Amino acid sequence: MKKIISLLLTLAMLATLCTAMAEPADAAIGSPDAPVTVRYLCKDVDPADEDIQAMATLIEEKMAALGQYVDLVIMEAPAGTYADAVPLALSTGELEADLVYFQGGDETCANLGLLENLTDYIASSTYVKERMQEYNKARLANYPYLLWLSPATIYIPIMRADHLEAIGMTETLQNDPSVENYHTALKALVDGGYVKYAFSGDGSMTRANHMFNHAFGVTSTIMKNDDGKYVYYIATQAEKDLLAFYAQCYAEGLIDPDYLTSKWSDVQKKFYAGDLGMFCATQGGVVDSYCKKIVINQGDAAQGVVLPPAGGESYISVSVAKETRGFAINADSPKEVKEAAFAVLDFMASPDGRVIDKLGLEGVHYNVVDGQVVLTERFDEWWSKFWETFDGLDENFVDKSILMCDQAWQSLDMAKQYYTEDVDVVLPEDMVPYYDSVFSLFNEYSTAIILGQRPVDDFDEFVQQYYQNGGEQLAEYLATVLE
Amino acid sequence: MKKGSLERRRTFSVGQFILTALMLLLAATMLVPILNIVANSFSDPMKSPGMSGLRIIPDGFSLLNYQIVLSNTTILPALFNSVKITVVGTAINILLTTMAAYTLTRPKLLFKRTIMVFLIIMMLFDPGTVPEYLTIKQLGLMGSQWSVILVTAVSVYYLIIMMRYFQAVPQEICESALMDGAGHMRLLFSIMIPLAKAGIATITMFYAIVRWNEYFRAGIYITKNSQTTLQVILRQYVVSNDTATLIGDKNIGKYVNILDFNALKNATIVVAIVPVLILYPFVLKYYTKDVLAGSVKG
Repeated sequence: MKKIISLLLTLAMLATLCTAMAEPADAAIGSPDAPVTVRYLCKDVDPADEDIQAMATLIEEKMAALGQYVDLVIMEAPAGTYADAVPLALSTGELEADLVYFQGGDETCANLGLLENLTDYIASSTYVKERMQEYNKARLANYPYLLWLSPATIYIPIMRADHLEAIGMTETLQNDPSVENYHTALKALVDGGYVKYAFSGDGSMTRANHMFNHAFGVTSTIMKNDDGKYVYYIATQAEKDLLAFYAQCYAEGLIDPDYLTSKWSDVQKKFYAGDLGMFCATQGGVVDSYCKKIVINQGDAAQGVVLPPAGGESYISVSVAKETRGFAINADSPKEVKEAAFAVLDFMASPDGRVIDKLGLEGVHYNVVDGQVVLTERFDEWWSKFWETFDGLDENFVDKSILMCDQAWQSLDMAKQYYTEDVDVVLPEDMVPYYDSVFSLFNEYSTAIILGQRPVDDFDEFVQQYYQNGGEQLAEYLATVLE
Repeated sequence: MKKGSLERRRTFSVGQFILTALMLLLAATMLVPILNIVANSFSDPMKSPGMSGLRIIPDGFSLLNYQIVLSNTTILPALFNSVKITVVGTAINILLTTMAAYTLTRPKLLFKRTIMVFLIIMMLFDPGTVPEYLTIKQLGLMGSQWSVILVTAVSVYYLIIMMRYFQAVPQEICESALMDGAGHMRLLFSIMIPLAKAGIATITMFYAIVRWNEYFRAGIYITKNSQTTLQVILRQYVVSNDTATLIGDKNIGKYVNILDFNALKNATIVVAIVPVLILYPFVLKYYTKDVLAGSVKG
């Protein structure tokens, strides 16, 4: 008897063990009669828009076919500037959205524990994982609350084909984009009277840095100086060399003297008017827009030419500290809603989701003729409501040349080709005042050096003040994080 | 000898000439930027990027910027909301301020000194945004335009100004009205307010300007685009450069390669200032009249 009982108990234990080891059944989301309501909020997505309602219905139908039953409710954004209003509304409880697009202000919400950690969701996802680039993964490791499947923001230099032809530098800059050749080209444009200024800025030289940084040795946001201390790039010899170059350009009349007070709209205005020789725009859709607009303003000969970075190594290193924008999930939403919200994001990263996101509604924004996509007149009204990336869009289904101009696609490829990952960290709140202090000081010195109000050698004085104004504390903190 | 009048030859001194020239220059520094904005907004979008900041005549002519701005679903409702909040809010301001000023200028009011000290302390020491926010939330006014209207219902500073105007009304007038059987309400609305018109006009203008420029509270308490004020919308489009939302989905594909975003913002500014420019001359005339009629005889 005892032997039989022991045998039965052993079998029971084995059965339990096998059950525990078995693959769990795919977690269904909702049911046909009880779909899970996911409240979605995104900038400029109007719930009253018929096309948006149709998109929501289409997403629900496509997900239902996969056994995921959601009721996607589009919410209206609070009044005011989106980046200010949404974090405020979320943190005060006035906004009850499950899936929220942020364009700034998310850190406040994350610090209040209002945003869900997405790490586990991504790990168990199907398509989101596939679409993530290396910088997305690195950013998520540092700050797991925002996800943004989009090309990294890199400002790609564009010059006009007719200008390059006139100065005979088209091939040179493509094949040997050294700093000297860029300088020669830009000087030739100004001296030859083709443009008023070689390039400008919207308050700073940030856009120009995207193409010149690596050429001068500014390879990341945080670098080690000669004595082995971690410093921000602003206190390095490389940055001094870069500032010296800008100062030389300014003295030669290559830089627009209004760059400090100009807004981006002013810079665009000057480029379209033919006053600027070079223009730096975000790869992809923005390059597409600008290349089309310059032709409209200046004629067909003014085709944009996308150029490699100075030095030919890399555009600016891509920050992996955190996403600056993207989708977050409300941590206060119920568990099943959070899972459903992420399922929506994963679906939109799938091939079917990419078609909806990038092409819009069939019969409204595009038609399928002989198995190929033909855009309608209303296609220009559509834009991606979830992910910016083109990855996952079936090129056999849609000829990409109808979506953007060649220069735009080229800019996306060049951004990938000349990509370097940055070294940067998210600073804790007590370190932020030191960061603000040293960067504020840098802005003062760098501006004065570029404008010729201070000699380049005053940079060494800045470096001393850098350490006195928080540089030492930052170095200590960065050493603990990076080593 | 000439019949009747002596003609005086008008002389124009060098000093007057210089003064006139300086005043014209000063006026130009204020007018030219505004006229440039108007001109830029009416210019052809293909030509407006090249316009100088001193040009006051449009380069080409196009109503495209206004077509975009007026088709935006938030600007005109926001303009209407601002007018509504300004009119309703100012009316409440004047009503409550005059009633409070009347009460506080009555000679036999008990604890007048204590009340005045309390009000002045409230005027000097602002409790801050957080207590105000919590109060608005607990009163259930979040998202309502009343949160903006009621919060600044009486300004102690303007209350004191109004009190001074009421104190300038001779006491004999009040006593004679009371002796004739007038109650306080009758005395306030039929005698005090008519005699203090200049003061009321002054604080009406001050209150109206504050109401019209209301941005901070509107940005925090009013959450819906259909209820928000013009200043919130203007900040979004003109200061924060949210041109994508300004242009709108239906227009952005068609016009993004044509539009001059600067000119578009200028059109937004023109639409926002037109109501003020239209109304101001009418309001201004009330400040040129002095209506303190002498009623004391003997």
